Amino acid sequence: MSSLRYLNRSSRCPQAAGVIDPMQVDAPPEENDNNEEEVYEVDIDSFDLEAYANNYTGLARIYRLIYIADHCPKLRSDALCLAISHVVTTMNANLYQVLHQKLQQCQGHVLPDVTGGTPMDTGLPVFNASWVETTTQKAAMKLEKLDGDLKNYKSNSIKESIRRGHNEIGDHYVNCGDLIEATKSYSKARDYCTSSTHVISMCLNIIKVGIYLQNWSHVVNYIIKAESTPDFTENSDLQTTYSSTLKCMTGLAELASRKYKVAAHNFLRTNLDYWDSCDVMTPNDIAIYGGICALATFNRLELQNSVICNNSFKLFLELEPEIRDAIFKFYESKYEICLTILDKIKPTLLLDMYIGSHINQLYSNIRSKAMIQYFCPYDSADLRKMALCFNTPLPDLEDELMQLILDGHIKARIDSINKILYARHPNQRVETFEKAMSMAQQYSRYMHILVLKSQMIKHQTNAKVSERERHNHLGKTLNVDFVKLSG
Amino acid sequence: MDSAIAVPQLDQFVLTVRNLASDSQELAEYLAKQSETLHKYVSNLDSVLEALDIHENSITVLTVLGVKATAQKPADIPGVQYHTAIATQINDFVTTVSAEELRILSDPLANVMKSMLTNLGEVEKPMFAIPIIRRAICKLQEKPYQLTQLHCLLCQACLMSNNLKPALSILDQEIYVLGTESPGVVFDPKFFLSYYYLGGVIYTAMKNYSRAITFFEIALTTLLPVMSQIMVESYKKYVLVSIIHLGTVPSLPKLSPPLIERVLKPVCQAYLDIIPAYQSGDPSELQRTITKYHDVYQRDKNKGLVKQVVKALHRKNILKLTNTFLNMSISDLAQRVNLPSTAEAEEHLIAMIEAGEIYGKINRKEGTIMFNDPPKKFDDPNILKKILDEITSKISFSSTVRMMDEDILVNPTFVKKISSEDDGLSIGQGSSKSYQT
Amino acid sequence: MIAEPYDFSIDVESLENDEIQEGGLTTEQYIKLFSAYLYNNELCAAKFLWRRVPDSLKSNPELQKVWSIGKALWTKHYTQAYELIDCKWSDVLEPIMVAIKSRIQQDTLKFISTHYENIQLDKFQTFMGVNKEQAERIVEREGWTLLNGYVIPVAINEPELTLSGSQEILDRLVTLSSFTSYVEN
Repeated sequence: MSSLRYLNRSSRCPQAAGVIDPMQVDAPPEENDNNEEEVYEVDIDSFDLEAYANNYTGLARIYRLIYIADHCPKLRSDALCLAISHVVTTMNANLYQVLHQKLQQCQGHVLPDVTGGTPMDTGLPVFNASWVETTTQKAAMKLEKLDGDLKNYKSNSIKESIRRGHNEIGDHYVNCGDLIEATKSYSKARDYCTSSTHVISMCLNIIKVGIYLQNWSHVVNYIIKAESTPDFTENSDLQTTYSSTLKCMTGLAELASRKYKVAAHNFLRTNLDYWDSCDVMTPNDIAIYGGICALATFNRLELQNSVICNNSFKLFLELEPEIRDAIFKFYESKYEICLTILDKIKPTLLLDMYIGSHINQLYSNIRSKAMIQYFCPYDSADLRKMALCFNTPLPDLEDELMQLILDGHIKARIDSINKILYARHPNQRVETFEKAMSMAQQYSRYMHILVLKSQMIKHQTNAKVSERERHNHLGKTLNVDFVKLSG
Repeated sequence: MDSAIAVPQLDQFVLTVRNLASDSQELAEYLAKQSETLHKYVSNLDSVLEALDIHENSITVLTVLGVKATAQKPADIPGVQYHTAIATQINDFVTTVSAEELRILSDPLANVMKSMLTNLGEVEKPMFAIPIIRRAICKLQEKPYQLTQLHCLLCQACLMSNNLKPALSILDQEIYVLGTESPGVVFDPKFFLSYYYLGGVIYTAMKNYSRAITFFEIALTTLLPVMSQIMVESYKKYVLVSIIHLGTVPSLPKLSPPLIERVLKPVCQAYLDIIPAYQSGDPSELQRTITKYHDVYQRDKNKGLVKQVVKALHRKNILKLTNTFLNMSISDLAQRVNLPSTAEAEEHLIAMIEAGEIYGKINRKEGTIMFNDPPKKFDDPNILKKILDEITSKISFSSTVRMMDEDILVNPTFVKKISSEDDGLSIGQGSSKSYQT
Repeated sequence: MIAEPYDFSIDVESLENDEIQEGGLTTEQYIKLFSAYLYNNELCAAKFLWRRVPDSLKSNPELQKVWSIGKALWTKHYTQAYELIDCKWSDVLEPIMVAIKSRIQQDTLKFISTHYENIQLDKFQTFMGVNKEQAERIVEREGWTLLNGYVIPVAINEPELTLSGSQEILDRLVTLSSFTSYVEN
């Protein structure tokens, strides 16, 4: 999930330690990242890496390529090469080294028995030590210059220039891949903000770096900060300009913390016209994230109101016709087509660094929901037809249904011999009776324990009194217990 | 009758206690000092007992009986004869002495009876103790819902003699009050804890699991946050019996997760681990856990219960199927719950149907089973009667609670405490008012 | 219901009391108590009774046999239980055993009637502990059908509890309502 952690990990592995300096970028432990990362590999036939990479710029592009390299063995070396070709346009010497190291590993992995073949023959980029050296030097020089400028501004105490100076240093750090320092520089600009726009753009800078770091709690904090800027709530211009972007970021953070429904709502409130790319996501991504999350968590009505009739989101959906079709087919109860479409785009989605690790969960949600909705209007349903519709063998369908019934999502029972699913009509009278009886029993059990406890306390009091001892809380405990008893 | 006493020291003893009979404080001190003398002349104590009047000198008689029960058995008399003789003497004491006296003496009586039971157990006659203890309990109780110090002894006697039924009539009576109202007698929590623990064990043995769970729960939660070994043992059994009977371990009302984490985890890991293993529904997983902790279960003497947990897992899995399926072939069912044969699956099914856990109809010709909803009706007079019974018992319970509430309200300590708190409160209010004005 | 040739209810209580008071029973009394437990289906009690029978008495062959029945019932091996019951018993025990058997048969019959759609005749025989003719007779008596070697039972309906005892319930309802009004006021 976190490409940065991949980087850290690779820098930590023993072979790397000898060859490359330890990474300077040391991502802080992510607080809200408590879910185990899914390890999976994607097998994909056709994927236009070049075109995909061109949708993004800067670090986002490289990180996305690394994610693909990590999860798709077929595309690994291509993705790494592409990433290297992009990384040389930046000053990120560390990442350059890491990528080369990955590439070496991957070559060793892919071509273990090519003997005598020099790396030149493969046409892969060769590690260029002098580039690393000159880039590191250049970066240091630039930093020195920027620092000097900043000092200059400070002595003149022109607020706006100081702010810009800090931002420039921040940008430079991002360019070098030192995200922690970048965050620091961006936040230093805070004291020199003179307008709400400045504050918000400061927040956006930090949010962006936070997203690179996948430090989601940090991201959420700064989104809140941006949204609570005084003018933001009052000034509608400001709001229209930035709210779409902020909603997107919120959606992304919620997605990462597996709150899919909240994520969907946020993505759906994005407006294409006022949307700033922010490098992290493309409008296509928003269509995918929003569409899939909504499909997995919304009920029919919500789907209609918030997605299908949502004019601003429609513009996004137009960009991803497959997602749009899946949603519409789902709504039209053509689950088979919907699921087929989703299955078709699954490998591509799995390669997305933000939604990839959630796809399996989201898909199984969609499937369950489809089944629940499928059966909803029926009193009985033929399992064979249902299996056909969901494109599953019968035994698997039975298992899936079993789970749904046990979880209480479908109120039905399976006729395993005739392969029919029958809706169950619970006898509410009986249920109510049972509930009432068990409640009464539980209540009287607790009461009994309380009574015994009070008795125990009483005897302890007696003991205390006879020993001429006083305990401060005893009277109080007694009192409290009896309030409970009579209440 | 004085002449019967051959030992002059004992003669002196009898005279003194007779004189002191009116002064209980001094008598108690004297008796404590004389313990050594009594032990020394243990073979002559019968003459002392003869010389004393049970009504006048109840404490002394009981003390002497206690000395007899704890002292070394004389070598020339067979153990069975000797100890049954003492038990008979204790029985005579219990029948003769007045109920009020007995209540004041309930603590020493419990000690004497405990030694008696141990002795009888050694000579393999523990059953002999059952009627004596039962008689003593009846005499001690003013109300049937009072717990006496002897309740746990009765349970123990029944367990020792492998005869559990006599305990059931006592156990079935709910307890609301600990001890009697006799002044100066404090009810020791240990009697309470061992009663509920042993009661739980007895109910488990008699397969009345729901009562067993209730008993273990009470033993476990009432004294919290104080912990004792007996409570830990109760928890272990509580977990296993709950799994067997309910399929889950219900959360305990007063047992918060941190407490489990802190106190129970180090000592009950084997039992805490069995819960998720069982919930997973996977027999091999459960078996792995059980094998891992085999020694622990053996040591705790819970192996039998653990074995039943394994059986319960099949039942739980079958139950899951009945909730989702209307009918299915028995071979399919056997496969789904990992049973080796259809015959075994059918055995499980029959056992579950007999126990009323599921309701189904087996079709031998097709080899299928049809699960039906139990024909539970809440509209027949039986249910009405049951509900009325419940309500009636709860009405009497609530009147007991009210009575106890009143008791507490007139308890001098409580009144003192409350009134002092009230004072504090009114001062506080007064001062805050003065600020406001 | 088949007429009960033997009444256990008084027996059990007096025997249990005797045992506690005397600290033990005679072999005959133990056998009697044991079979009474079997009759009442109190298998737990029977198990513990066997545990506390003095070792010196355990060698008694009849007591041994009764215990084996108990074991068979405990493990639900009905065929074995029937075989054991059908043995030759002393004159005192004979009526008791007949009673136990008919009790088990009654229970089994009811169980089959409500929980089996159909059942092979031979399986039915094992369940009931009867031979083929007897089985056919039972089927006929119960009004069930025998088709292609399968017994098709008709569910025995529980005798519906009619309004007998309703007067008592009515009385208690009155008590309850008066209590409720007392609580509310």
